Amino acid sequence: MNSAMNTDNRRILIIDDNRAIHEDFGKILGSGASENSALTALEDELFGEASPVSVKEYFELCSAYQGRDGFEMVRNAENEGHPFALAFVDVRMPPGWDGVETILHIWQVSENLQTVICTAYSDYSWEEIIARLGKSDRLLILRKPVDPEEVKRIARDLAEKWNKLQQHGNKAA
Amino acid sequence: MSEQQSRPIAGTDGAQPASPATGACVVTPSKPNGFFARLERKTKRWLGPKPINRKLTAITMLVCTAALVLSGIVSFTFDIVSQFLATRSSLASVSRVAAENSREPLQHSTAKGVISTLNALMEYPHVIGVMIYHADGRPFAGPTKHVKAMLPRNLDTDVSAGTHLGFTSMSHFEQVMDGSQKLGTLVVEISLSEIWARLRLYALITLVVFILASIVARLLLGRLQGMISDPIVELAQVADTVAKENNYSLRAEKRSADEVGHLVETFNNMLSEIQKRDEALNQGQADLEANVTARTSQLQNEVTERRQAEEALKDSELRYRNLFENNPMPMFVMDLETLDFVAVNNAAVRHYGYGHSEFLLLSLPIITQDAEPLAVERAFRTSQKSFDAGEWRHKKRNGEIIEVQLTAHAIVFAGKVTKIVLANDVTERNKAQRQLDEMHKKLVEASRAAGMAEVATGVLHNVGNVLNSVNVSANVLADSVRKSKAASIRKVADLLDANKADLPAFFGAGGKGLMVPGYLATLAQQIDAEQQGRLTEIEQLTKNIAHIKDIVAMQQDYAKVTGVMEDFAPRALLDEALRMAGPELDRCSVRLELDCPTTLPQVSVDRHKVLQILINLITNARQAMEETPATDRKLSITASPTDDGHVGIAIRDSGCGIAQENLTRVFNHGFTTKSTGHGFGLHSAANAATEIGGSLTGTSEGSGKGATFVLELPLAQPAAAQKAA
Repeated sequence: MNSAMNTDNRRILIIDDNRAIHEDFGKILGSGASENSALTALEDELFGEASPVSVKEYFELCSAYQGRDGFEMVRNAENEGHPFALAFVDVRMPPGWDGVETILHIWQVSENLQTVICTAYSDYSWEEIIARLGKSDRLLILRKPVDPEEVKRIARDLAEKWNKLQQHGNKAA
Repeated sequence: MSEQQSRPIAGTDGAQPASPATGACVVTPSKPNGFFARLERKTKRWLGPKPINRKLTAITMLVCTAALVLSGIVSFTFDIVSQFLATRSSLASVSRVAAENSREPLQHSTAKGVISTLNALMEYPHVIGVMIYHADGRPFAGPTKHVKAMLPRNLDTDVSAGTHLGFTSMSHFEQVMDGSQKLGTLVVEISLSEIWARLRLYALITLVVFILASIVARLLLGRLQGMISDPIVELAQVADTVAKENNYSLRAEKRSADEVGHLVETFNNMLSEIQKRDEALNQGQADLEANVTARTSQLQNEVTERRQAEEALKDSELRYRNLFENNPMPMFVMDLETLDFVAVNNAAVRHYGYGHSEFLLLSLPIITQDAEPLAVERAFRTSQKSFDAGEWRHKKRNGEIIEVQLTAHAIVFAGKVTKIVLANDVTERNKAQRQLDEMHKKLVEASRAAGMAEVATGVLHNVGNVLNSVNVSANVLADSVRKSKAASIRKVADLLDANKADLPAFFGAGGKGLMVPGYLATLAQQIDAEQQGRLTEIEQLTKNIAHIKDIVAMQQDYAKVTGVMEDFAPRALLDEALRMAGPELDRCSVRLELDCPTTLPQVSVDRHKVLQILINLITNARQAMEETPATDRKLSITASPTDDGHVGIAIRDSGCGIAQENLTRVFNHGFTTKSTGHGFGLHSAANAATEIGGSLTGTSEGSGKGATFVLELPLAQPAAAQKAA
């Protein structure tokens, strides 16, 4: 994976009006508490065994607190050549655009951006969301409260999916 | 002449004897009783009341008649008498001659010798009979000619000689004498008819002359009497008018300089004088009246003013006394030094329950609850004249605590510096205010819940978000514990245990043990850091859980509000519900049929709950008709009393209906057939209906056949009692 870092886009945009959610995503996808390397070295020396190297996945998280801001950030990122691979979008974001509307806008400016729509409760049913957004293979629904492991998996898988799509796109080009 | 007809005239003659009944002494002038005097009186009596022109006419006519008749009688009498005398004397001389001539025949009793004489005698005018009688009365001879008069057969011997006047005839007896011996008697009878005829002629002439004279006299009188009577009549008329109209400005016209003229003048002068006096009198009277009127109104004004002033004074006294005594607000006057009550009004006695005298033994700090006497004193010992003393809790005689708003004003009462304090019991107001606030909150809640359970959705959204954080925190904690370096202590313990046989060597120079203290220190640091991180996480977790608890508690509060039961007309409740839910119905082209008589008895309900239920039901009905063609969308709401003391409000829609198997489930918590439903609308509605003593039931003939929900609400107490009665 490390070898793929350069070509691997791990930029994730989180669009939610609730700051706590951003923190949560930070905790789940962020680097967490840094390993005490000195302690590890001491342990190695003292116990004469190599402790398992934990591979910490890396994601670059960006935050937007309103749908319109998120859309602007996606567009700017596309224009500047640092596109986001993935966006987590909350459904309810008063007072501006709701999640569905934000996604509709985002899709217009980004071709491959994977979108996860997060909903705390059934503001919209799956059918309603599909009805408004149309069937898409780059849309996922995540129900709150989220399972951190699920979020990690989704983030990892969709980032990979984006990268693959990008590679295919490049190859095709 | 009609005027001469006599009329009886009563009461106009002063000479008539007065009625004895009057008893008055009437002086009656002594009456001469001669014929003329009586005539004069009669004439005067008859003429008395006649108008003056008639009088003039009558008098003139009488005078004329008298003159004519007298002159006629005199001349005719003279004429007849002289003729009569002439006839008699000629008859006497003729008779004497005839008697001379008949002496001889009588002596010789030879009638033959006198017949011719007698016949000649018959030739005399007016002679109607001649006869000669013997002295013994036997008839001797008569004329041969036709004798008109019937002379007696035998003549009375004692009849004297001379003329005997009869009515129609006159007889003349002439004795035939021979010396002194009476031989016989010659009787000549003369007719008087000529004299009578002449008399009648004279009478006729007199009558004709009289009539002619009368006519002429009348004509002349008609022309001339005006000279005298007109001014008098006019004067009389003027006098009459003056008398009738009291108009003294009238004047009679003076036409002549005679006595009448003078009379008119005098009359006019008299009128002028009367007019002057009348005017003066009128003026005086008018002045007097004006004075009286002015004085009267002045008096009235004075009286009114005085009465008003008195009333105002009385009124003001009463008002001020009333203002305190009967003021509906409790009031008391309080000595500022001791804070004792100096005076209390009726409302205070009534309101606090202390007797009047009992009250005066108390002081403000005694009845004030939950406040130090000093605080009370401080509140009232202010230099302000009029001030709001704030809200206090006072104890009534029955121990009840009331909240009162005190307003005070400094006054001097009975020579002391006091405060008059007005106590406004705001207990109910405060309670009402609190209820109002609560109800307001509930209304807000009800109207929100009435929408699309928006608040609930919002709550769940919030809970979801917080749960997210909780979940993440829990994961982080689990991760942290799993990866905790605390396990390394065990490793150190194991290491020490492995080297416990030769610990000095282990910790000796070059021994591995020398690294242990440094490692332990570093480990401790690490564990501290971990601990710190976990604490932070746990803090956050706790905070988030508390947050969820708050949200849930808030939700429970909303759900549990037990409102005030009040009486409402079912129609008012429906109208209010339709005000909120109606616009949506219109927007969705739902036809609404409302049948709720305003005469329905009132129901006792918690308004907000009922509104919530009604709006929920109406909204449900509307949503159930979303698939129904717009023309068939019909919502009918019918309210009617039930048999068991309720009013049933049936809400029937023409929507999708409810499948038979779902009919009981629609009220279950979490059951919904709506894609956006939450499944607790009907559930909480049914609960709310039960809470307020009513019920909510639903029926449907099946899918696609519409549904009817019936909300039964309990009747208000008076209405229920009435029904029971």
